[in-house]
Amino acid sequence: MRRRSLRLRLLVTFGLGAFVISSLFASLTYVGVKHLLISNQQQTDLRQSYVNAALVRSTLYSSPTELSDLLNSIQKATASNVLVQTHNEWLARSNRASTIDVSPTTIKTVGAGHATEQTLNARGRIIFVVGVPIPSVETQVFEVFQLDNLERTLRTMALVLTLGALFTSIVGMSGGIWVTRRTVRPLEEVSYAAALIAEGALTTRLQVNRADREVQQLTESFNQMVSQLVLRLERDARFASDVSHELRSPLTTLATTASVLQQHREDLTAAGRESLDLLVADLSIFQSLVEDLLEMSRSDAGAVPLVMETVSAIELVHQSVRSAARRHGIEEPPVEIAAGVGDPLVLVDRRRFERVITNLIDNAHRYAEGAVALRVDLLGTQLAVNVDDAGAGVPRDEHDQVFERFFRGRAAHDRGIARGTGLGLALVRDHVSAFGGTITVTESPEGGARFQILLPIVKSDPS
Amino acid sequence: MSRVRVLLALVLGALALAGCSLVPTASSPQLIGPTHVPFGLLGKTIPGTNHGRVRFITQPVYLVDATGHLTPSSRIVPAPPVLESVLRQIIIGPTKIESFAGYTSALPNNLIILSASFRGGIGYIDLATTLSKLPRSQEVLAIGQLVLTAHDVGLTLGVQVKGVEINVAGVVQSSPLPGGHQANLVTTRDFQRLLNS
Repeated sequence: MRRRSLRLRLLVTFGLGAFVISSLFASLTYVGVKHLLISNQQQTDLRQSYVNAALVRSTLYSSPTELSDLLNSIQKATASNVLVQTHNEWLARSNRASTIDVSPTTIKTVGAGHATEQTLNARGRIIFVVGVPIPSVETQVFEVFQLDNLERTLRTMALVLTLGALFTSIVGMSGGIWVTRRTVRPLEEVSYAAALIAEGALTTRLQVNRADREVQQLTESFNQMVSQLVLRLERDARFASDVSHELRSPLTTLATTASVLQQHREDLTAAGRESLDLLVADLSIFQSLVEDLLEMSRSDAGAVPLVMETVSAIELVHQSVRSAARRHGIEEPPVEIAAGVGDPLVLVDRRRFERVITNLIDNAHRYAEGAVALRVDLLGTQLAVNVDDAGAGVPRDEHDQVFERFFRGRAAHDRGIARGTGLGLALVRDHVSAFGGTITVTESPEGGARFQILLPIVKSDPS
Repeated sequence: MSRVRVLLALVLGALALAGCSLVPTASSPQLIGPTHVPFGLLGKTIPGTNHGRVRFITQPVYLVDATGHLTPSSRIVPAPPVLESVLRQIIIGPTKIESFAGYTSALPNNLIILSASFRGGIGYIDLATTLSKLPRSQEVLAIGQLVLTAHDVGLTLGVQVKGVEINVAGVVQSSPLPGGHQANLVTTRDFQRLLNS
């Protein structure tokens, strides 16, 4: 299962958190202010309607004919519509008042002597109707207040709060991006540095960030860990180098002794000769192992400096093939240069490159019926040196493992071969990496294994 | 698919919310406790007075419209209506709104009514000054206003008014009719042609 990104999770957490908090705040604000506004408006309207009802009463008492004028004055002053009823008949009403706004239930209830209030939606308009009975003049006063302004205010407030919540969410998300970047970047740097170190760049270190204490601690700890690791590796390499070096002298003595015994093998019994052959064979493997181990440990410890030089790749390949054939006493495999390759220059350590080619040809000779050909081609901006063998190929699951130290593949086991040291291909990978190149194993066109070295081209000469 | 449904539900919810009223409405009127109603509005009498309950009604009164015809309007008066006080309303003349609509009164606004009453189905209106000084057409309209208004007051009081007699300081006046005749007892029928149909 693919793991979720920490960056994404932090971003979502910040964004969602900001959204939830701002939404909650906006909702609470809206509910509170809405309640307050509606309550205030209705209280004001109620008080106004009581005052107006008292005015209606006094007008009826003193000059009833002026009632209509009074109602119109109220309408102008308060923008409310007033209706006066007596004994189920409308006595008077302001100009814009409509009896439809007052429900029969309200009329009946107020007519029964109860003051009422009701907020209702009348033909798409929100109105607040107050009904007040005035028994002393046997009338009922109904005042209709428009709440459209309040409705508009609430809509505007809802819109502003929604936009505010969205804006806050965006700000929260932006903050999340900033915090995420600041938090995750050191982790990414650690990851990148670890990858570089895994590839062999042991001098890689993190820059100590003085801004954040935690990050500073992380980088310092990481650098300290890498330094300790490098020290440990160097110590191990030195130990291996020392051991290998110390083993060389007695091995040389043993080899010389074995050589002397070989010269007198006719004097030995059959059992003695057989024992001598076994001794010589194992001695040879032991010597190879010690040589490889010594070279590898020196390389690890940096005891042998890289002597990088720009050389003609074609010439070097030819020379390396000749050297390998001579060293192992085998026939030189053909070198095939693809059309258009020209004479590219590569930056390598000549001795180590020869060792690379020698090891690959030796590997093909030992485990795969020999090398079919060395094919040189261009692959993009890189030079590809392919060593194709006549074997059955390397199983796919061993493609990466074959370059591990002391790894012995199924081919070696199946063939019962025990002469290899298990370090040859590991050395090849180390050297190619030191050149800034890569090596992979795939399938050759003939069906065997193809060891493909890719090297950066320094300069390409089309001639 | 589920995300699309959630999004659709959110959009529909938002639209429904936008269509709804933000101010909560009530399906029925809420009662206000009597103690919360100030100014003694729920009291049986008007505070500061010893008057009992007063009932008001709308009583028709007749004015002259913009075309010169008699037309009914209404006045709020205490019930039961008193003929003299109702007639005084037409002497006061039209309200501001009625004036704006072109209504006038043919009666002079300084006219004084000495008394007005019904007796035996006849309305008696005793004026302080004669109307004969008015131009004839205005005099006819003025008498029409008095007769028609008195007739409707009688109806409100349950009196079948057979006619109206106009007096000046107790002396019976011969009133001019629209047809050019004169009569001591005038009826609503005499002024039917002056009504705005």
